[in-house]
Amino acid sequence: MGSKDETCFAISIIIIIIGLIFIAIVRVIYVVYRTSKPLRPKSPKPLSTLIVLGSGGHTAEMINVLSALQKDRFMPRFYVAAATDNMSLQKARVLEDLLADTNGGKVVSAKFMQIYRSREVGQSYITSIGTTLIAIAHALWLMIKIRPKVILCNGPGTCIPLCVIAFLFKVVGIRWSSVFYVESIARVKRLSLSGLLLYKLCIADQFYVQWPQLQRKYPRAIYVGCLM
Amino acid sequence: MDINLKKMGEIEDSENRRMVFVTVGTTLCDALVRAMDKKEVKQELYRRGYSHLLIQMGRGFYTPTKSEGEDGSVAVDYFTFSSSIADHLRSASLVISHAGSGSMFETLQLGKPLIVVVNEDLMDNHQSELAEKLAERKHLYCARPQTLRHMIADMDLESLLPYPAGDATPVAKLINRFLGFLAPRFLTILAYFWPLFASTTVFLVLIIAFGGVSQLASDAHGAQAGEGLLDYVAGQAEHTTEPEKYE
Repeated sequence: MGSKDETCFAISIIIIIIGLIFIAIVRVIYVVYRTSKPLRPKSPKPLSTLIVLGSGGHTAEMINVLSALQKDRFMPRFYVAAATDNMSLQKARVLEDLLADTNGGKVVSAKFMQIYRSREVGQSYITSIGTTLIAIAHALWLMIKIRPKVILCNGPGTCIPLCVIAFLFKVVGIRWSSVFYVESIARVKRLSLSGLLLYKLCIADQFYVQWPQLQRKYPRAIYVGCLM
Repeated sequence: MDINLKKMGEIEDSENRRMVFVTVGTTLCDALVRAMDKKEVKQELYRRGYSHLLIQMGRGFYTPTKSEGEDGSVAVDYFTFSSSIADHLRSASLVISHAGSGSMFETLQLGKPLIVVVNEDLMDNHQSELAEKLAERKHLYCARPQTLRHMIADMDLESLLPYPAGDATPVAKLINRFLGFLAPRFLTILAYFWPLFASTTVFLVLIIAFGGVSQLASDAHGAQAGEGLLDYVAGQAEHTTEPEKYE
């Protein structure tokens, strides 16, 4: 009698688990399908935007993109840069100060944050697994606080944990976000590691490249010409 | 007159002062600093008419030897970081840079002749891709630390082409379109133009209302006129006799 009850119990638990896994898979497939489909908002409102800054050239490119965007549509803006990188946030602050000046007395909602890097330039792929885990934990904390609707990134490794968490938020249903990835102009023949991951895992809604030969190699990418 | 003379002197001085600015950005690029510190390279620079060499060495550990620039050599100076790198780039006659895209584009946008030295120590050497691509398009010269001396000796700065400024508006347009910002929704148009639409509607309604009333009036008149015309065309009132035939 007891063993029969136990088997019944076990079977029902297995069925529940299988059901949950099935629902999760269906949801992931749905999210992947919906990703890269344009949004159709009923009334376009300003979207909270997360901007991932990298070092040197990455930041310069991102600032070029930002200056071409209408700032009143992308509000509030959250800038994130690696903890080892002070220059990038400085440049973003200069840009925001400039905007505040041109807007007059208008309050500009911009916040600046730092995040642990998943990989330093020159670090080996094996040790970067460990540092990536730490970066993911920190990124999760930041993303729970920010919950952005738009994510703009262009190549530094710091964007990977943020984008993966954004994808999980979509799956769970916490926040639907659109991820825009602009591959750095420095990538002429091959994608960067971050770019390759976001492209292959279908996390980026729109994937932009700056050289035509990359677009030929990765057909889902969109060629936009040189940003610099 | 005195002031003029002084100005003339300054201009002459700045014309004589041809500075080579070496920058490694925020990175560590000892290979480039070491290559610049080589005696042959400095001699070659002097032979090409450069008088000063300023090295921004970043996080590098190798410190080059300073020199006052006596006869037959260039004056060498260095610093680690500075917020006024743009000023140094502007005052330079030649820039020698690491292959970081930030430094490269900053120099190209200022229209300064540029030699990029590719750092072969980096893990995946994607940086050389961009430098080689831009060298292929004749915007800059691309060298290795070993070949720098020959590059300086052989370079022809007149043959370099200016770099056209990039454009971020296509990306901005695509992002806007994706987020549904570009095409205004029907409701938005309605909300914006509602006074126009409302007044037009009122106007049309009025026209129809008044038009309808005058139509009725003219209908009665029109029917009589039409009858008269038909009678005239037919010459006689046929329609009054025809129904009788069928009966």
